[in-house]
Amino acid sequence: MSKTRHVVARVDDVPPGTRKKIAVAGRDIALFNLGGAFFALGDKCPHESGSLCAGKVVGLAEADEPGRYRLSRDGEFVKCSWHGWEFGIRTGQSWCDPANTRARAYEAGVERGAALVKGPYVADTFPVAVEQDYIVIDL
Amino acid sequence: MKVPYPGAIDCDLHLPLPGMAQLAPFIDAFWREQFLTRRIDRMDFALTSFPARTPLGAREDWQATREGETPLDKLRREALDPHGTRIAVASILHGAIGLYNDDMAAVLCSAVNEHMARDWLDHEPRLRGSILVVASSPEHAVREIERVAPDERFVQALTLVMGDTLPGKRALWPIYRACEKRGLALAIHAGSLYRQAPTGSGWPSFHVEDYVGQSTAFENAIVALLAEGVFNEFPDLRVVCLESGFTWLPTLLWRLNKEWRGVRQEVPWLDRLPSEVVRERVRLTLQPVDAPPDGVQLRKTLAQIACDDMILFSTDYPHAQFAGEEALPDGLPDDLIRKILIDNPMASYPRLVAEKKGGRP
Amino acid sequence: MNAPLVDTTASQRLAFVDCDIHPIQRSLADLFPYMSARWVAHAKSIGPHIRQGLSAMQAHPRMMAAGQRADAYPERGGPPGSDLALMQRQHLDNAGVEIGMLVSLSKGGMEERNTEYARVLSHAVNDWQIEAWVRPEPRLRAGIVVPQEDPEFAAKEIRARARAIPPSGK
Repeated sequence: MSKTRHVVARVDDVPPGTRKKIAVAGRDIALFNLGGAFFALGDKCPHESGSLCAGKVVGLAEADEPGRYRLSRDGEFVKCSWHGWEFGIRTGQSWCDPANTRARAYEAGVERGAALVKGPYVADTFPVAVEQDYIVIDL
Repeated sequence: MKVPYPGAIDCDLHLPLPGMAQLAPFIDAFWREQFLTRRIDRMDFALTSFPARTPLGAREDWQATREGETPLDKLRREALDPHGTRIAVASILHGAIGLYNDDMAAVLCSAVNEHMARDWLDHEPRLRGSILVVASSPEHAVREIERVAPDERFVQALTLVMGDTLPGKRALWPIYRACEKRGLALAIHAGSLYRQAPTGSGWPSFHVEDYVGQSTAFENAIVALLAEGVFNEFPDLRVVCLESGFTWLPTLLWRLNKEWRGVRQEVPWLDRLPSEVVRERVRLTLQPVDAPPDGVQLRKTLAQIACDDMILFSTDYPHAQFAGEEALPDGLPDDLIRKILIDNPMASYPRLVAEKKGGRP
Repeated sequence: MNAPLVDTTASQRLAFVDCDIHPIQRSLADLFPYMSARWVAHAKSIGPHIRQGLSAMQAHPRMMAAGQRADAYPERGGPPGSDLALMQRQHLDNAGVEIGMLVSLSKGGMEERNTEYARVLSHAVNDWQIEAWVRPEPRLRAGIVVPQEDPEFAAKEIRARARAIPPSGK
């Protein structure tokens, strides 16, 4: 089945470091702005379906040895709001079990409104203006 | 079933508690006088965790000594020969470790270790020793490990699972550092010093509660070792759980892995599946087998443990864990029997690994 | 003629009441006559269950003979305080004790974790004090031992013992 590109939000609606929960074609999606780049994850933790969008965006806790704590990759992970499992925002992969435990990741991008009005985009929830930038995701 | 072929390595065998007369040659003049004048020489140094007369204590048919038989003869007849044992890691659970005076405890531990070397290891080449240490005083413990370590026949340092503090705590790390450096395994034996109640909710009324609760204590110990970072800090340290049982392991491993996913940021040095670390670094002795005699159940549990390297053969002599010479539970696959009896022990104690490489017996 | 205020020719004797004398069993078997067969069996197999790491000794060994007079070990064996004849000779007669109160610290169920066994022990120790000490030696008085964390039983034991007629009939 071929993917459909959906226009889901104005770029201004999701400033860097924030996230927004959106509904697309009956699915809840967590949309993240990571330093100007957009990433979309199914808003459903693969563990027990908790909302990722409602979780905290965090860095990666590491240690070179017991008792020596370090935080790296600031803001690149989201902790599920229910049990605290960590998922990489870029990939949806869990940190603990990247191969098998992952949130659904969707391709997200930015398009000018001028390009969007030509179609074949689906923008069912709000009007698209030519001069605005929009976040689109493939679903 | 019986041990099917010779060569077994018995990883948990207990020698009788020496009396003060046997220890006296290994105690200096000051302490000998202390023990004499304070009538400490009359005390039995039995630990509450090992009540001598309970049905689970010494096996009835092993209580009598035959006429003219030395304690070593008796050990050979009852514990070593029947199973074709090639190596037996022996320990002496002496109440010295229950004393509050660390100096006195350390002197007695040294005497017990010397007694082990001179009165047992010197006379029976199949035996290997455990260094009894005062875990409540890492300074003393390290000194004793350093003192005894040149004697290669000692293969582990021995502590109880419930001491002054959880086994992972960093105050104890000097002991672990010394063990690692000297190629000694850290042996954690069932039992409590009763420095605090043996449960998190106070004092049970009955022995059965203390006894069954040992497996919980081992779970706590393993989690503490992992969480505090002992396995990170000491990459070559092996931990051997004695008289721990092992059928509780699958649920522990499962929960560890599960909870780790949510709370691992608290212990970020724990940077891979906890179950993998436990499978690599923790060993558990066979007896007492805490499974029904039906081999089907046991096989299921072993499949859930999903690691053939962890279980080490033990008789737990002279405790009453099996009848006759049936030291192995039924239902074990043949290749696993071999691993439990020989391969796992030989791979688990750094000093046995070294012996093997060095071609010594 | 004035009589002296104090008759200095009368013989004088200092007699006193010793409120803290510790009797002890030679071994636990001394208590068996005061226990049911079921609890004797328990004592022989399961044994004590207490709140310390060393089951039959102090974890802080005292400086003198487990805290006792080193010259009080009876010749026939057993711990100090386990031999009435020695206690009479060494202490009651020697010091002129008129009344000696027994404080039976050991094995009185005070430290036993098994509630029912603790009751049995305290009851047995109370019987044993009367039979082994107070009856043969009228100068002695028994002190009721109770498991102090078991107030219901303790109160019952105290009431029962307090109502009992003293063995000397006094």
